[in-house]
Amino acid sequence: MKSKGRSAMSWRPLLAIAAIALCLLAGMALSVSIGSWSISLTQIGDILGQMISGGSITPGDPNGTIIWYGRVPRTLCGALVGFSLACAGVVMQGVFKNPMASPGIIGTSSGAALGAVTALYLGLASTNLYLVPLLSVAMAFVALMVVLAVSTTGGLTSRYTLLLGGIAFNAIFTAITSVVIVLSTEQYDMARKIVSWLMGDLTNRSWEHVTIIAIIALIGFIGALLYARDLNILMISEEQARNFGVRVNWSRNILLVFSALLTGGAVAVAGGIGFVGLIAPHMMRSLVGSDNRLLLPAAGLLGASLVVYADCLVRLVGSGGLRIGVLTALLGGPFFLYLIIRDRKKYVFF
Amino acid sequence: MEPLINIKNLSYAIGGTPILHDISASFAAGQIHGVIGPNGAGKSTLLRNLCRIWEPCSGRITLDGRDHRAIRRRDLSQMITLVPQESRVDFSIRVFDFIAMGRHSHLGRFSWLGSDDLEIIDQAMAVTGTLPFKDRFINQLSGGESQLVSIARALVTEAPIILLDEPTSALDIQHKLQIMDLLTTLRAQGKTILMSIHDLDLARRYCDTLMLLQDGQLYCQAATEEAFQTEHIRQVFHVDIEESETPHGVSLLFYA
Repeated sequence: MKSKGRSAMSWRPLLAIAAIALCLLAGMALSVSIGSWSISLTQIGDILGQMISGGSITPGDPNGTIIWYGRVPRTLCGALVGFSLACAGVVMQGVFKNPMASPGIIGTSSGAALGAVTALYLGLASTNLYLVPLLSVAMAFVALMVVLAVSTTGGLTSRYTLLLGGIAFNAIFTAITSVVIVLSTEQYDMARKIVSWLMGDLTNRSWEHVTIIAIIALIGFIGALLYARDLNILMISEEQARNFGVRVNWSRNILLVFSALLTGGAVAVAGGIGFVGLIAPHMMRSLVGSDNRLLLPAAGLLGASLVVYADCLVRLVGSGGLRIGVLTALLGGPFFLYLIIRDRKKYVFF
Repeated sequence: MEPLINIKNLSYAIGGTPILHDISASFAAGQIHGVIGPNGAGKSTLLRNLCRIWEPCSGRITLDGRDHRAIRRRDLSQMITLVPQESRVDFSIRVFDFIAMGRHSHLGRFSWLGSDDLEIIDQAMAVTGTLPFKDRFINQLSGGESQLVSIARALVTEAPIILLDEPTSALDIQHKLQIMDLLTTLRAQGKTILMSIHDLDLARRYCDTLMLLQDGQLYCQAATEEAFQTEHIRQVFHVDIEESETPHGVSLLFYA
């Protein structure tokens, strides 16, 4: 006779993932349909159907150009950026055993921002579109490597030193970024572009941007998923992970590499968008549980939805000053405070 | 017969400070072995060296005749497993999922629990009495429940050697006895138990052999009756011990 311990297959996580996926699709449809140029849903449907079935935009067709070369890449960029940030957040929260950790905690996002800002300042963006993301991702990795080097001794990496090193490098990278911004103020347009980008922006994103972030998101997501079972134990304790056969240093460092890739890619394409990587994993954990194999896709889809809807809101109510990063910070900040107040008893040390 | 665990000249240091020094000992299969000694004697360090959570600085440990450094980590975790003193978790993880983590080394990267794994988890929960709270969250359990869950998780690894670090510390007397009776059941099922323990009364009552550690060195290792002598306890713990028997034949220990 089978005992009663068997855990029945729960459909709740799958239903939650399906619901978020539908929500994302609705958001993407909304995002493609809104803009200063009014295009009916039927026309949008025709254009998308035509392009997906291998057709092309008729030369001189403004609707087709706006939808296919403007709104669709912008929407896809937003979704992929949100997806990447949320997946990076899942990894960081697991590695640091802290549900309040975020993708930028070890300096990767400020490193990526410095890389992108430097590329913009040097005018590399006009030379080659791929140079900004390349430098951004490269700097995210440089930040990761430097922090890892600082916190590793005798082949062992301390989680706490990683965190402290991250705080130090975040401060250093942010300071250097400020210097670059100050230097750029001699050229008004350049300074405006950099500041606007730092606040999180999806304006004028092209299919090249989609390609970049899609490749990065795919590699980062699959990589993180490969190590998700290790992450499940790492988030309990490194000692226990070692006890259950996990090669702790290797697994943790490779997870950090995938997280840096996802963060660097997102920052490279959309600039500074905060709180998505913190909120999305946190919200989905209560619906799908703490198994990172389910949490990664679930949080990724929610992160994608958050950025897509934030971008819609920016376009609907924004008067030019509002940016996605500003909006996510305005909404995410209070949510973060709510989490701190709700869980503060957990972190009281007597 | 070759002992299941053999330690030869084991030393371990942290940042140049010696914690264990030149320990040699052996542990037979199918018994409960107690490791006792004052705080800082190196009991927990010894257990962590045995399952290679911490790599020994020098010396040799063999498990079933095999040098444990030559065993792959995944294979090692199927031979020997540690039940830590406490498992504080900041995430809400279901008890069932927490116990299932013990199957980690048996599964591939993309494998999910199969029917064999579920059967093993069922049995571990039945033996440890953790079935009633399998759907609760690990961070909502009491100390005693949490310890039972950790033992269940160790059982699903199917490791023949189970190390326990202070399994009864911070538990009330009822839960202490429950845990010790469970360990006795596991011994009867063929498991080899090695635990560090502060409660000398329980150590004497339940352990087949005792290992006394003092300042990171082996003081003595012998069958419990032989090791648990007034003089040994005085030397290791710096306390006097007196034994008295109640009219019901229960032996009581008094310390001074």
